[in-house]
Amino acid sequence: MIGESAGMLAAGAAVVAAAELDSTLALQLMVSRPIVLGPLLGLGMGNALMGAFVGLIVELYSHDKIPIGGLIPANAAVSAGAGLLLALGPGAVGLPVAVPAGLFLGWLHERLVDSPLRRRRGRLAHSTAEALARGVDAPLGRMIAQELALQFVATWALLIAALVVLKPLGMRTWAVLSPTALGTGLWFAALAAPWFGMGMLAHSLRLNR
Amino acid sequence: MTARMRWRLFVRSFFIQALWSFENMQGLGFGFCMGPWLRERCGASPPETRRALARHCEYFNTQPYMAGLAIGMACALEERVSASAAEDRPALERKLRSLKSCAAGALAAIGDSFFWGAWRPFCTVLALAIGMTTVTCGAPPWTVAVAAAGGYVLVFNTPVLILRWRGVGLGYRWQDRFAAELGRFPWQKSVKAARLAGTGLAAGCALVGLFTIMTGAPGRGAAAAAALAAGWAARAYGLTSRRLYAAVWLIGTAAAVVGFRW
Repeated sequence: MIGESAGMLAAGAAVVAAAELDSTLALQLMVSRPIVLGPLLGLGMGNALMGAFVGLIVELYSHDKIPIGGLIPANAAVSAGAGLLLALGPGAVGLPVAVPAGLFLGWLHERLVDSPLRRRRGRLAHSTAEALARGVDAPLGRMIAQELALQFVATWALLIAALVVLKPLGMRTWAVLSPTALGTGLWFAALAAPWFGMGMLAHSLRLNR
Repeated sequence: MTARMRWRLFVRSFFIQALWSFENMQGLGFGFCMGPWLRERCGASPPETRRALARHCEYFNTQPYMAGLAIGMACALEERVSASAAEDRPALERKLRSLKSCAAGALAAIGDSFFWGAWRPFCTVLALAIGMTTVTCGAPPWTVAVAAAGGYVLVFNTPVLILRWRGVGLGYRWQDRFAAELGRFPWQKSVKAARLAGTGLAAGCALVGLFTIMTGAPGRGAAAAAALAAGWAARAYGLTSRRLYAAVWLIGTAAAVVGFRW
């Protein structure tokens, strides 16, 4: 039973890691957007409405973070996916803790996975330019496959590590916080988030930008 | 350009950012996209192919959905380079570099403002509206999830895929008339239309949501309306999402301490 549940979480983490590739590196068909990933992952894990709620919050809080130029925003796919994996399945953490923990993990992914891997690709660009100048072929297709695999594995490992650490920690924290004013504040933050997010979305749609 | 080649360039354009880096941006990805075309044009001379590939692995950055246009244009100009006499090639290669760089900037400006600044927020509101409608109709949760997520992906990707596919052909045809041809499209009108439609849909969703809450609990409805206005103000002030979330947590905690019941 425990093995089956752990397997479900590992598979969920793999789905999130695969969807995360869509956010910048490949395809960009927007299946990595929280409003898409959240409901579908929730559906797969047996709670579509929870998935839609977490996906909606993260989408509204991250919709205007645009990956242009050298800017790497907190990873929205990881935020939504991690929030949901924490809130569902065995050892589920309360939703008011899972959502901010997911937002934090999206930021951590940018620091620990995205930035180092992009620096690595910068070195790859140098070595490719040198190889082509020396008259040696550059296997760009193989390099792309390797980089996609590396990004997938790094994201998956981060999610698994976060689940192993944050699931028990989050459960204990929520058990302590929930009867207190801090717990009420966390509930308020989660339930009011869609409204704050709608205000932010309306701001980004204004015509005089 | 044959249909098979166009298809190969189209498929490869989905991976233009796969080797994205701070220094080179999409340079290596652009080189990857150009690979089949360069091998076909310079196939008889591997050193020439490598030289052409090196040209296209240099710094390049544009909006990924608009990249097809730049790829098509680069293909046409590479064709001219390979067909030209050896003494004319350096000047043509300089022209290619310069046009590619100009096209990247122009396409990024248009694509960022339309796809990231207007189309994506519009599709978010649309998915929200679809979700609210299916919930109101009493549809089961799985229908809500599939309808909202599927609606978002389908609507967002329709212009994206059309542009990615047609872009390769258009860029190839336009060549150095690129800027003039690009200026004929009503980009600014499209941006305004998407934002206007998004604002209308967002207002509708907010009003329906507020009305539903207010009929049950007027106090909660007022709090939701205040949160909506505060979200607008927070973004106008430039508050990040994490800070806003923390601020709302503190407000909720302070309210609970003074005895406010939600």
